[in-house]
Amino acid sequence: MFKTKKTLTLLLLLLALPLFLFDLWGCKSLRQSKGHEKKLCLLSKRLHSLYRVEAENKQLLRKYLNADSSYIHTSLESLKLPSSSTSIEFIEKLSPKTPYFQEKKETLVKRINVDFEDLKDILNRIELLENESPKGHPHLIISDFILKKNKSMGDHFYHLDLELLKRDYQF
Amino acid sequence: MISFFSSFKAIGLSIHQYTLKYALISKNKTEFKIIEAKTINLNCKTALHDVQSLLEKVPAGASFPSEKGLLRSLELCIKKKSHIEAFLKNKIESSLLDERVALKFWKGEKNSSSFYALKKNALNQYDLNSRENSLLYDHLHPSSFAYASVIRFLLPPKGLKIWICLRDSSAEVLLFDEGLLIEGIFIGDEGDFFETSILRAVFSIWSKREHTSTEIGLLGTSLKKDSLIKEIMSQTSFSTYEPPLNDIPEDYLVEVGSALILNPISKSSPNFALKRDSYRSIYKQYRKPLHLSLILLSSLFLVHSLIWKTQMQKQMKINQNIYSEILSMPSIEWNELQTLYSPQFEGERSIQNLDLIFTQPSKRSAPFLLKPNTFLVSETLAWLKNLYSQLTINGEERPFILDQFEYKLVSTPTMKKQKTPYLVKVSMTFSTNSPETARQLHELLLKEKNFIQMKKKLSWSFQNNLYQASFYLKNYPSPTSVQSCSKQKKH
Repeated sequence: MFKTKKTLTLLLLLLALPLFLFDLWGCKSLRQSKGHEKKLCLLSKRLHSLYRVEAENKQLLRKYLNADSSYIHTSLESLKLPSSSTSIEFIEKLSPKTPYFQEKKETLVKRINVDFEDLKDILNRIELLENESPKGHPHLIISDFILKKNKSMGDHFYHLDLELLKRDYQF
Repeated sequence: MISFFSSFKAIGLSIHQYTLKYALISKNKTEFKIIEAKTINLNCKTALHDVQSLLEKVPAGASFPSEKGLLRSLELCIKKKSHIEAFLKNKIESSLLDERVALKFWKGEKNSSSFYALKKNALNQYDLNSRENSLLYDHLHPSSFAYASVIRFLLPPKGLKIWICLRDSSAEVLLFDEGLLIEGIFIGDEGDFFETSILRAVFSIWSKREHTSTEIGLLGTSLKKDSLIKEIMSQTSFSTYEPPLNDIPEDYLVEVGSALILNPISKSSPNFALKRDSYRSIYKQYRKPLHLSLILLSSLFLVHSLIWKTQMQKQMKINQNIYSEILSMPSIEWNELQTLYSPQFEGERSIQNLDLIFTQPSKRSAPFLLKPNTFLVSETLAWLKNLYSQLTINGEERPFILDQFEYKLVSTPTMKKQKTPYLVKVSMTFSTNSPETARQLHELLLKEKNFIQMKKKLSWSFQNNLYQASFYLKNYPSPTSVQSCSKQKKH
């Protein structure tokens, strides 16, 4: 009788050991799986943001597909401002090239005298306020914009200093 | 369970050809009790069955008559246990004696070693008897060791001491040294020479040693006990001493001793049960708690395993959902992704090279927004104009004259610093007709959460009748919201 019980104990032992190992393995793989979830979440977020960036960039590239490199000269420098004695003139400086675009810094050589109407006109040509997209408009970003009151000419006149970033995209 | 550890129960057996004597005892720290002491006929099946079922539950010690072998002590120079064993084995073999060296001890300056040697096949009949009757035991020893354990229990002997254990018409003369049995002589039925034979044995044992004790212990009962005491008193200088038996029946001394040997398992007593058919390991005592703990352990693991298995399934479903969501996203070159990243959801073993995806730049477009997600100059000026219109009290506009306005793009993302945001700093200098107007404007700016970054400091100062304010413009909220993984978990 006791011999069968002894065998039973042995059997139980034999059963308990793989169970124990199985349990350890299970806990480990569960931990691993949770780690995978974190990695997947990171991947998902990263891809979402990549996707968003890509979608917006594609839209932007479409917009500036036919950019004219002489836009500043033709559209801004040719602008006649009745209130300003000085003409609009930009000086161009190349920034280091990136794989996606060539950036140029356009700085006003001399500050100009503007009133509100002039300002509106200039900003419209740079920032396309009325959502018109004139042919050949390049991607312009205002990096520095300083308006300073022209005390000698009264309340409505300001001196304007301007610095632009012009991005030329390669297709 | 607690009682298992605190109290001890054991049974002592002596198996004869037609009868079986047994004593069931219980012992704990304070109490010693003889539960049962019986002699049964081996032919009486019900009584035998009772004993057999009793043997299932408690550890058992069995004794065989001492005359089957020899208990002697030797003086040896060798000390190592293995050496002594080898030496004794050789001696015994050459004397045509079986079997194993039973016990050893070392004492004082001289090495003396006691051993019990059995004749070859001396226990064959005994084995047959116990096997036939399914009597199983944990410990098998000569009866002299059973007597020794009773003597140790009744009166722990100190120094060298002789005990005479009487039983019907036979006797055993035992010599103890500090409680250890070192030598013993068996005297059978010698008829009229019984007392003389005992005395001769006493002398033969005692003559080899220095006399220190003056007492001889007497245990057991015999018809010739009184005449033996007389003989000892008249022929020797020893006096006799009989210890009180503490409720141990005189007829069951050997059986009680056999049971007592098991608590604790005496290392000073040889166990001849090993390797015999009727031997059952002492593990029986621990069987119940062992079984219980094993069952508990197994069930614990089982439950635990089940829990993690269900959790694992849930987890894998979550992972699969996120993965399928990733795959459903457009405008990603999935071939490229899948070569880099190959989850195995069935076994879910590895996610390979996942980090590569994070470090590899996209080949199709710039990895950062090309269009600044900040407010334009025109938008900022329009917002300022709107702010100006709010500076009214009772419908009357408050004079607010802008002296200087600066809009500066202070940071843009680059290829090296892709995570740098587009950041615009606005500084303005202005004058007002009254400090209240300025204060009102300051408050308006502080409340303007949609246009101004509240995390960055808004500076405000007053100098030469001009107020100066500078702040950072807020970025547009992202047009497509990033789905969080926590949403996935809820699905």
